[in-house]
Amino acid sequence: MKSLLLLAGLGVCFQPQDSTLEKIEREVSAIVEKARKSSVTITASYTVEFEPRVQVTESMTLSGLVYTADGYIITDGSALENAKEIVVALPDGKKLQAQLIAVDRRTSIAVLKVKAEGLTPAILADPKEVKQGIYAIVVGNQLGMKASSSIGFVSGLGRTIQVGGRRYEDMVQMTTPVTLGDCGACVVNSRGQCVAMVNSGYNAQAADIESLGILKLFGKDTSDFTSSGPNTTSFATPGSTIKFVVDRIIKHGKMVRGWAGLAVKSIDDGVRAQLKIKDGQGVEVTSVDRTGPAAKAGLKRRDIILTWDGAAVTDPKMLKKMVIELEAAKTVKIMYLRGGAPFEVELEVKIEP
Amino acid sequence: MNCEEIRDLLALHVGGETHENERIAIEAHLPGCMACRCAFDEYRELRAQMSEMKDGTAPNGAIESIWPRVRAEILPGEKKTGRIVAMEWLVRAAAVVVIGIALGYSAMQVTKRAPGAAPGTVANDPSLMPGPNAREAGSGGGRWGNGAGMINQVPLGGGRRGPKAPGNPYLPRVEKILDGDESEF
Repeated sequence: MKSLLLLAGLGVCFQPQDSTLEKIEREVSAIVEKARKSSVTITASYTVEFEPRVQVTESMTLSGLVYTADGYIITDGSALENAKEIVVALPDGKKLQAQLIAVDRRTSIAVLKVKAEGLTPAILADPKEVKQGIYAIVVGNQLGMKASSSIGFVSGLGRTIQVGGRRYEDMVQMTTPVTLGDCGACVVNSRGQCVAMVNSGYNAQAADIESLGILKLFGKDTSDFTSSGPNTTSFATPGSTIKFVVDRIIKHGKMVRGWAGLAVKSIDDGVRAQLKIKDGQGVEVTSVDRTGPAAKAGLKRRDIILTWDGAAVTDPKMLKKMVIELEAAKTVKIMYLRGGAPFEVELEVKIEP
Repeated sequence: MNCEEIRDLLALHVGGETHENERIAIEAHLPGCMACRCAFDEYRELRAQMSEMKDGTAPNGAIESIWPRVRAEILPGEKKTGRIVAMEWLVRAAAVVVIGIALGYSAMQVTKRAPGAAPGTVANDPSLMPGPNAREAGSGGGRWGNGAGMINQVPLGGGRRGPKAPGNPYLPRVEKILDGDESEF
């Protein structure tokens, strides 16, 4: 009996152990499997009229994710604004007509609604856990192939990019390869939680060639390459922005955010020293929308905003948050410096048109 | 500009032949208009395919005589300016492309034509005729130019290198990386 127990014990001891790579493989596979349950395929159709009698129907395929169990789906809205018909293919393959609730142009987030119950929503990660270096696993529709996945890391946060002539702030930068069809795909971390949603890809090689003008000499456009070539860096909308925008759209039926009509940045060290402003205090106005509330209040470029509605302004993102989180117009008192002299003014923050 | 005016210019825009004000108008219009973007993508793809077909050099004198007429026919109401003269190198390049397209396209169709078809009937090939079903039949229905008299209809399905992904999968491209410290609100 003792011999048998000894043998069994030895068997347990000498059982081959999984290598670290095998463990990682298993973990990644489980994460992808989990994320696939919330991943959807979105097909948008458009009528393209070349001439009065020549009409063709074009379609585009992108990715999306389930936001609520009762049928709210989110995706990137840059391709959906003029869509004639939107169809969502659920993870089980069922296809449903979707209603476009709204597209937020500032973030390009679109909220769709399908008639469905019991869907598996993506779980948004705690914004504090979204850091440089964490895994960024994309589950999308690469080249139209359903629920494809790719893996990389979050390589930067708080990036600002221009896509289709529009400016997108506070984006997540990733090393994860993304390609056509991945737009709107869920980016998950090592816990399988959604940290971001794919927005766009950047092809550094094409950008380099473009800067040398080589492509144009050969009559090529860089987009000939970037549309199908590999994107060396990808960008995604962070989960915190997704939650803010989508919750607002679901609540109001459209995006509602405060608007001051200005752009600000951190104060340069030289300016700070010259005006004797303490570290971590104030932001510099870089531009003012001529039709916006800030212009109406008399703010100008190079003004230094010190306080906003009684609170000390420490950085641009903090001030932006204070403004955009408003759901109704509000008059606030602002203290600012112009040419070193302090001023105070009232500004009516409006709801962005 | 409305969609119709934009689409009249798209063929020129993909070749970088538009005037500065036209280019600005098109680039401002495209992000907000999916239909025009689809049309733009068609032209761009067509151009990419055609640039692969170009071969040889244009006959002497052909460049100067053809391109101004091409542009005049595409945009009949446009006044001629000194810009065309100033952009002579561009005109030469464009004319080479146009002639190359014609030669390459004809060669491609000759090799594709069914046995027994009479030579010189490319323009009458039913698969190249415009119509809503052309695309469904897999031959495409893209239009190059607007009555330029050289090539009216070209198939988008033929001559493509490599497989095409199903359903036009979508991912926009980043145009610029901007200063991340600045916030607009």
